Parts: sequence; C-alpha cells; structure tokens
Amino acid sequence: MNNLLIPSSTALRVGTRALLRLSSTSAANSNRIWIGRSAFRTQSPARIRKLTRDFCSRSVPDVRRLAETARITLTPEEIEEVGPKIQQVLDWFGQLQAVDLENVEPAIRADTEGDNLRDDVPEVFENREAIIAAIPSYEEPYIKVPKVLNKE
Amino acid sequence: MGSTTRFQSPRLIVVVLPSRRRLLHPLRFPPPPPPAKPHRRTFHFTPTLCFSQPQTQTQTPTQPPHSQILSIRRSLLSRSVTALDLAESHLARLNLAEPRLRSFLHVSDSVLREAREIDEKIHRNEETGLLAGVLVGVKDNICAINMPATAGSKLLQGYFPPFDATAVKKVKQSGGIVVGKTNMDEFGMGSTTERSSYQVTANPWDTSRVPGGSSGGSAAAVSAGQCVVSLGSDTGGSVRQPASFCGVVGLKPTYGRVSRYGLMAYASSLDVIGCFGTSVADAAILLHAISGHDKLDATCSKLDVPDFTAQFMSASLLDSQPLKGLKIGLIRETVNDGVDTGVISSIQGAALHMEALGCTVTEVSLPSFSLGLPAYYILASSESSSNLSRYDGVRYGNRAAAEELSNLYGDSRAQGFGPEVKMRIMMGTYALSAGYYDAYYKRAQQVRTLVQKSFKSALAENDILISPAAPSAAYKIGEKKNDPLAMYAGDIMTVNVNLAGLPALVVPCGFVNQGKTRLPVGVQMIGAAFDEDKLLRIGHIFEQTLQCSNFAPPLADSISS
Amino acid sequence: MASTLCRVIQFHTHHFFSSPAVLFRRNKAGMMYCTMKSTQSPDATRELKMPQAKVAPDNYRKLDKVTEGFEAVIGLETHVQLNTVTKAFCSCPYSYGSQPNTNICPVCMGLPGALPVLNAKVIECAVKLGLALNCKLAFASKFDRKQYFYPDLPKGYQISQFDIPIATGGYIDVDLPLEFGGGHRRFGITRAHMEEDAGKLLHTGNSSFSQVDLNRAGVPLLEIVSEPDMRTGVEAAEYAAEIQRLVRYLGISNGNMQEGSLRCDVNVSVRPIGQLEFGTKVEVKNLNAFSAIGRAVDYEISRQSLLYSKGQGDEVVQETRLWDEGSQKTVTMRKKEGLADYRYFPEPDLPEVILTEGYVEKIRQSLPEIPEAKRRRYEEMGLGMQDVLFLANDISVANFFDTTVAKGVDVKLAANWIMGDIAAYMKDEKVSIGEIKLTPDELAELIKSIKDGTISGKIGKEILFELIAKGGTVKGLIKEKDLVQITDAGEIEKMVDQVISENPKQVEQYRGGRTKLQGFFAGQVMKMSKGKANPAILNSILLEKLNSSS
Repeated sequence: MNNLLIPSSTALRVGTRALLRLSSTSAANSNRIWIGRSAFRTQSPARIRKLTRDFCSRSVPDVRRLAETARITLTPEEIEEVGPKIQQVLDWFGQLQAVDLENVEPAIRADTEGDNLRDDVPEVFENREAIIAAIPSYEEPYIKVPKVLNKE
Repeated sequence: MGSTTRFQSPRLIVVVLPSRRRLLHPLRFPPPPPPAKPHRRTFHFTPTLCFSQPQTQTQTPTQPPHSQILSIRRSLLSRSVTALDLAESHLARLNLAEPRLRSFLHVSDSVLREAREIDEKIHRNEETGLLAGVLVGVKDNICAINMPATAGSKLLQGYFPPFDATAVKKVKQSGGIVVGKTNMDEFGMGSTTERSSYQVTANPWDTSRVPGGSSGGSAAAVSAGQCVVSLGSDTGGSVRQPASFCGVVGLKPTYGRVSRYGLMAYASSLDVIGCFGTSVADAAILLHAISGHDKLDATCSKLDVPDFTAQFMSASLLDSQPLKGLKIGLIRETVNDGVDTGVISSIQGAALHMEALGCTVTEVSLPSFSLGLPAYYILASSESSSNLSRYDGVRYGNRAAAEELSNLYGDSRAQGFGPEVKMRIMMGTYALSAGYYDAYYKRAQQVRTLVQKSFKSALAENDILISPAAPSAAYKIGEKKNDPLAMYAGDIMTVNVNLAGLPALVVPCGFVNQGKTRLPVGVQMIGAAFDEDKLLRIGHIFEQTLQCSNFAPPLADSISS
Repeated sequence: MASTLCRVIQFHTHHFFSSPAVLFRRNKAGMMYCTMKSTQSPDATRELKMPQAKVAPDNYRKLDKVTEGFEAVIGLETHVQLNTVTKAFCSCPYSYGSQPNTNICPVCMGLPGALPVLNAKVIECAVKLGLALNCKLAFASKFDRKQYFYPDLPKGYQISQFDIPIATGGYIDVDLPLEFGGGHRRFGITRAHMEEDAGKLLHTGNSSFSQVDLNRAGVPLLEIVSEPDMRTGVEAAEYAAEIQRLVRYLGISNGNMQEGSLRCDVNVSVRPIGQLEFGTKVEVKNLNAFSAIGRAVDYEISRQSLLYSKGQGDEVVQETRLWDEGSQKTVTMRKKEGLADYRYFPEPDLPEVILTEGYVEKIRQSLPEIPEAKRRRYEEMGLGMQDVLFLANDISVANFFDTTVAKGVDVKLAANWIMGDIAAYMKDEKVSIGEIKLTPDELAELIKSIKDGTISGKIGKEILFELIAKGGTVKGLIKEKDLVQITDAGEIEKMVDQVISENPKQVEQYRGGRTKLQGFFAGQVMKMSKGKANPAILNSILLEKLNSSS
C-alpha cells in the first residue's frame, strides 16, 4: 500500500514547463548589458566563460543524445569534433542570462496584422503527379518506408 | 535610330542610346556612350572615399547607375533590340564568367525560348509586363517549377519543386525570365557560400575572395552582369552583406511585404525574400513586382504596395539639397572597435555625402544592439531545427538506403546535411528542449522585443538609420571557415534588422584597399516598417548623386576582352 | 374496456444508433417492462428486438471484491475530427475513404517552401464546441509546434496549441444509462484545442516495409481533455457517448468511432479511498467503441487494484497499454520513459487567433439546444427517462419529435410512435429519420386522427407504415382507402349480429366458458368492417350480445 503514497503527476497536458531557475552571475554583472562591442571579439573567451559559468555548468550538452533527438546519425569522430564547437556556441548564447529581462514580453515575430484566414473552399492541387514523382520510394498508391519499430 | 536623349520626366533618369544590334559594353546595357577617357578610373588615395568633394585631376566624373530594367523595356518597346539578343548576350556573358565565379547551380535551358515568346508578344503589340526580357537569377532556396531547387544542400539534390514560389510567379507574370538558380550557403546557414555543398562562389572583385552569403551567388551574378537582377533571401543579412561585398544594391523588404510561399524556410519569423540590382531603381522595381498579399502565406501583409519608384527623380532635377530636413541616425555601435577602419571611413563618407544633400546626420545609440547577435542565432537555430525536420528522405530528396526507419532518418539527414547545418540543428534542438526553452528561446524572444522597441524609438526621431552592412570588406575564401563564432560575428550589422522585421537597403558607397585589390563597401540604410517608399527614395538620391558611382568589378572587363 | 398494452421498450437505443456493439452490463438488470394506458392499439405486444443482455462473467463478480476499498480516477482525451470541407491549413478537400495519397498538396505534404494558412471554419467549430462545453474561451490564442519524427507526420511537427488553448475550464452533463442505475453526472473539461491530424501508417503483412497514406495529414481536429472526474467504466463510456452526441448536435463532426472521426484514449489510475494523491496513471489506447471504453476501464481498474492489494503496486507503472478486443484485456504497448519532450515553441508561420465578442456572440446565438438541455426539457414535459434518453440521443430524432409536438399533440403519444414503430422501421430498413418519407406534420395529423376517432389505432398503424415507406398525407390515405372509422353503433351492431349468427358453434363455446373467444368474434367483425370498426364500441356491443342469454 505504501506505493500508492508516491504521488504521480496527472493530466499535465495543460503545460507548464519546468522553469529553469537561473542564478544570475556576479552581482556586478547582474544588470550589465553588453554595449557596443561584439562581445566575443573584444572580450576574451575566458571572460565570457566566467560570466556564464553558473548557468552553463549544468548545460553541457550530450551530443550523442542531441543527434539522436534530431535524427542525425553521427560517427563518434564527428561527435567528438562537433561537441566543443556546440559547447562554444552555447556558452556564447549564455550571455543572455546576464540581461535583465524582467517585464519584457517575448515577441514571436515582427508585428503582423492578425486574421489571415482561409475560407473553407476546396481547391485541388493541380500538379499532384509532380509531388508523387518526387517521392523516392513510392508503390502505388502508398509511400514506402522501412518497417517502423517503435513510435517515439 | 535616335540620338541620346534624356527624359525630363519626374521618373528615372533613363539614357536611351543609339540602337545597336549587339551588346558592346560588357557590363551595362544599353551601353553608355563611349567615354572620353578610359572608364577605369583610379583613386590615388587610401582609404578610398567617395563623396562630393572637388574632384582631383585623375577623377573622371562617372555616370550614376541607371535602371537596366527600364532601359531594356524602352529598347524592346522601341524595337531597337530584341529580347532574344539580350538573352543571348547575357547568357554568353554568364557562361564566360561561370568557370571563375560559379554563381549558378542551374542554368535554365528555356531562356531563349522565353525570350522569343516575348519578342512575339511585342511584335503582336500585346501587353508585356514591366520585367519583360529581364533575366532574373533566383536563389536556389526559392522554388521554381521545372528547375531543381537544392537550397545548396546534397539532401535536395535532384529535387524538382511542383510549384512556383509566389515571388517567382510574379516575376514570370511581369515577363521576367528566370535564367537560373544561384549558389548559396546550405539552407541559408552561412555568410560566404563556402557552406554550399556544391561549390564556392567567387567575388567578381577578387576571385580569391568570397562574395558573401548566404545569397552569394545572386549577388555575384548581378555584379558580374550574368543577369540583370536577382532574388535572394535575407534572414540575418544574407542579401545585404553580399550586396556590400559585391558592390551591388541589396534590398531587404519589411517582413511580410513579400510572400514567403515557396521560400524554403530557414527561420520562419525572420526570413524574407530580397532583391539585388545594379541600381536602387532596379531593386525597387523588382521589389514592387514581387510584393503584395498572398493567401498562401498567413504572415504576409495585406497593406497596399505603393509604386516605389513613383517618387524617383532624375539627378538633374534635384535641388542642391534634395534631402533637406531629413534626419539620419548613424548607429554608434556599428562604427567603433571591431569594424575595419576602411569600412568606417566609407560609412563616414556616406554620412558626409548625405549631409551635403541636406540631411542632418547624428549618432544614435541602440542599447540592445549587441544582444541581437546571440538572440538571433538562438532564434534562427531553434526555428531552423524545426523547419528542417521535414527533410527526412521520405517524400522527396535524397534517401539513404536503410532497413529500419530510424536509420532512414538518421542516415539520410547525416549524408544530406553539411556540418554547419547539422550543428545548427543540434543547437536549436538543444535550445528548445524541455528545461532550456525559457533560458534560451524565450529570452531571445524577449531580446527581440527590446530590439524592436529600440529601433522604433530611434526611427521615431530619425527618418532612417545608417550603418555598415558588414564589419569588413570581403574576406578570403577559407579565412573564416573553421571558427563558427568568428563567422557569426560578421552578422552583427544586419541581424537586428531581421529581429525587428524592418526594411533595409544597401547601396555601394565606397571602397577599401586590400593590398592591390579594391573591394567595395556598401552603406546600410534602415527604414521604418513598410516604409520602403522613403527608404528607396533616399537611397536613390544618394546613389544618383554619389561621385564615384561606378561599381563595375574588374572581372567583367577581363571577360569581355 | 381499455386494454393493457405491454410494450417492450428497447434499451440503449441511444447507443443503438451510434454503435452497434453491445454494452457490457454489470448488474442484474435485464429487460424492463413498462405498462401504459393507451387506446391506440388493442393488439398484443409489438415486440421489438432486444440486444442480448450479457450477464457479468463469474470472475468479474470476484473482482468486485478486489476493487473494494479503491477508487478509480479516470480521465479521457478525445480527438474529434471536424467535418470541414477542406483541411485545417490547406485547401485540399478531404473525404474519408478516398484513394490513398490523392488529397494532397505541397502544404499538407510538408514540401519545402510550403506554408500553413488556417481554415476559418476550424475556429468556428472550436468556438461552438467551447461554448457547448461551457468553457472559458481564450480571445487571443496561438498555435505551437509539437515536434516528433514519424512517417505519418510530414513536417516533423504537428501544429497544435500548447499553453494557450482556445477553450479551458468547462463541463459536460451526462445522464447515465438506466440499466446502470441512471443518474446525473457532471464531468469537468480541462481544455479543448485545435490541431491537425497526421496521416496513416499501415503495416503490411510483409514486415520489411510499411506504407504511408497522407490523405488525412492536415485534417482539423479538436482535442478535448477531461478532468479526471470519472470513477467507473460506465461513466467513462457515457462521457464519450455524450461527446459524440454533442459534436453531432453541433454539426461539427460525424463523431464516428469506426471511421476514426472520434478517438478516445483513457487514463486510469487507482488509489485507496480517502487518499488525496493520485495513483500511477496508465494510458489505454485502441478503443474503438463506447463499450470497449467501459470494459477497458473496468479491466484496468481491476488489474491495478489487484496489484496494489497484493502488495505489487510498483508493477503499476506509468505506461501506455492497448486494449485487445480479442482477449478483452489491456496489454503493454510501451513503457514511457518519462514524458516525451515535444520541444514545443510558438508557431511562427501563423498569426494569433483573435476572437471578438461579436463573433462569439453570433456563434452562441446559432447554437442548437444541446443534448443536456433537451433532456431536461423533455423531462419537464413529463416524459420518462427512457423516452428522454432515446429521443435526445439523435438530434434529427429530437427535431422530428419537437416538430411533431409543436403541432399540439400529446407528448407521450408522439414519443411512443417514434420510439416504437418508426424506430423499428428505421432499424429494419437501415435508414435514418431524415430518410423516411413520413413528416412530423403527418405524424401529428395521424395522432390527431386517432385521437379524435376518425380512424382506429390499428388502421393508424397500417397507415403509418405506408406513410413512412411511401409518404403521402394522412388525410389523403384515409380518403383513398376509405379508412374512416366506423363509430356508428347501429352499423357495428349489424355486423356483430351477422358474425354471431354465422358462427353459432363459437357462440356456444363462448357461452360454455371459453371467454377468450371474444377475440375471435372481434376479429371477424374487424375483418368484415375492414378494420374500421371502433374497437371500444365493437367490444362493448359484442360483449353485450355474447353475454346475453340466447
């Protein structure tokens, strides 16, 4: 019966993402905005790393896992080669952590007028044959794929 | 047939020249009158500045660029030349230059046929569109029926889209002839065309240098006269930076001005289709032809498209201070350390020129400017990681042989994508993962808001803002290839404009000397949203009154001789 | 003398028309009979076909013991495929059963350069549903990309709504079927949102490859997530049935589980009664009928309870199981290793979905009376729950009923006709109420004609059949076939006399004690009168004559 006392989450479909609580870096930098300089050209790489270390320390990417998630087969050599580059860029991304973004609304895109909708009126695409012709493995009337083992 | 006349209409300067059956001058058509002095002039001082100062002995006044599109139109309509002739000479030129430039991934085999059809139409006195007979290059990530579209990637080798992009459809409807698909960095990810999986395009000014990217092929093609105008795409500067590197006009419209339907998406909230031309007028005419609401793109604006060139005046009709009263803001953060001195001089020269035209140029500061670069790359990687998920070999493209589905995906993508694309997809995947979304993507969206706000307030005080289009002139091929951050650094001038969705125009304004070579530099002018009108008018006047306005690359001459 | 009419009412008729599968019943209720006074039909019972009542298997009763002390917590996720003409984000027409890969275009195929544009009708359907589910509507919602790789998902992501769905926080009222005790329930609705469907992946016999059909890719769906308010299989099944009823009422979907235009997945967890925390949740898929939902849930409750009660609670893991109709069990499909990371982010290709007060109000005005409201209204009219459930199940039937009753006829009579003869005809001929030739006006006319004595009930039934099959008017048929009831006592008396005189033997037998022969005589008179004799008058005269000493 003890097992039942372990709570388990129920309908999490109304999503709240796990918010990553970020500890800001040193107080001196907490409100600093990088002004005017290509941050990495004039700031030494070491300085950037220091400033974003708090955040980045837990965000070392598992490149193998990333490649799997992105469905890109990488050889071990490729993983080794690309790993540091990705890490370098991600470290550089981390500089946004130092910015005070309190009360700033995220913008999905530049302002667009809303309401670009379509009427429910059918239009048959006239060049279906060309779509079918582009399919690498087609056996009328289906697209062929190798057997599927498991849905993600 | 006629003598040189100058149209005194309030439209563009058009020089209609004696009719010739053949294209003589290799670069401009119709050819300008043979210059009294050799038309290759030199500037004997470095850094090279072009602005309205008293001319030195060695300086020859050069003709400001004219609209090739309008010249072609008048020549065709006056029957002084045929579309077929034009097409043949351009194709000849294209083929001559190609071995060295490699701007094209595909050249259409129906160019001459289409040119003949236009001639027949003209013969029958039928309506032809404004772009009739104009050869247009199209970047290879923009779909055109009956031509392959690879986006510079091996994954799409042999893919023939079953539909035209709306922009291409409109070019064709206006009578334009799509001459071919131009080279680009794979899926738009790069700034030099070195990331193309097929070839590297060379800069017509110095073939050991890059033309810029990702629309390098389109810029080089126009610069070398392989086509009259071309379409590119601009997500973080991919039209403006190559325009600066190649010495041509590059125009990035407001986000939503031109339909994105048929543009292979890189970063959906940032991508726009842009125009290259040898004059502001040509870029403007092309933009007008491709703009407008499209029901196939929900982010496309319903706003009317004004005739951008309607307000264009010929230089001779301009006052001495045609831009009087206009306020220009020079973005302070773009002209300090980290930018080549040669580029800074050119921009300062441009500023001086504008002052001579009557503007007040002041320095403005955009506080969130440098944040824009990491924010841009986070957004672009994230969105592109999603947009590129569809490339799996199942419905189109190169499919790897595989016995099991996850291998099919993994191998097709591994074999089809280049290393930069793979890296960005993985970075984007990471940035969107659970637990990191708020830290990366959401923050980048917030920075976008800051950037939008700061531009808005700067543009409330100024008519346009100016800056360089790139921190340097064209670099050598291979120089930046292995250092991703160094590569990204080059985009600092341009990405913020994409974040804000604003229109921007790059006009060649000067040169820098790199050893023996002279490399062009363009000035970027940024306008308010949907205010391409004002931007282009200012750009046109700037261009038409600039003293050293011959931005013809040496390659062109060496080919023709 | 009034006769007593026994009529067997068909149960589960509300399920009957929606799903031919048999409901699995746990309790002992078998057939129920209902008596009512009526002058309509003197004849013996008109028996209708009954679904075979399944009696609970023995082991099931044992399991009742197992679940004692535990409480099940059940929630449903339902996908409703909208019946719009075109897909959600492109103008491809969609029709179920088309030749594979024919309803396609660059957008739904995920070709490079294609872009989605939202079908305005989808918003309309979503708002209709949101209002009908008593939800709070988000006046500014957005789309998000839900990313995963699968061959039936052309873009590698599904356009859906993640954190700002168009509708949240509503409820739905259901009436549980009478054989399970009936009763009213209100179940919460957590949210409803718009999204697009994926294509179909078919696994061939040949195991080396699978086949993809993208006709269905991009078809609009509304996903409805319920609060975990259900507690039994019956409740879960009825919730699903009510959703079906509702979407059909609203006309936004044909809600057909067999065709896949209504899909349900259930989440079942179990906890000891009184505990506040939820137990481990298990998802069950592959439910193709409401009855399957009920059975699967019950099975799962038992399975989990058994494990917990045996101290093997850690074998209850968060996973997805499939309902196997053959073995009537749930089987493991895959174990969830934590929640899947769909890397949601806002869809940049689509602008926000903005609703205005005016738009919402207009839709609200256009909503039909929803099933719950109808049921309450029918109850108030005085109909029994049986009738209420039957009539309110199908909106066309309800409309037919409403129109008939609007002509002023007795509610109960109208109900009986519809539920009896008319329903039987529809079932036999496999037609819907929209396809029969009988109109509500004529039904009302028929009822009136019987009530005011113009024709007898028996004749009424005969006419009914013709009206349903061939149409026409009551008045017309009466005239044409000369069906007016004979109510003149004298005339009837003459016929009675004749019959009596023609059948002396039977008269004697009758007077000898075989009173049942009255029916024989009545029958003869009826025959003679071609069914037109008024039964009441006939019988009273007959009895008088028969019982009088010769």
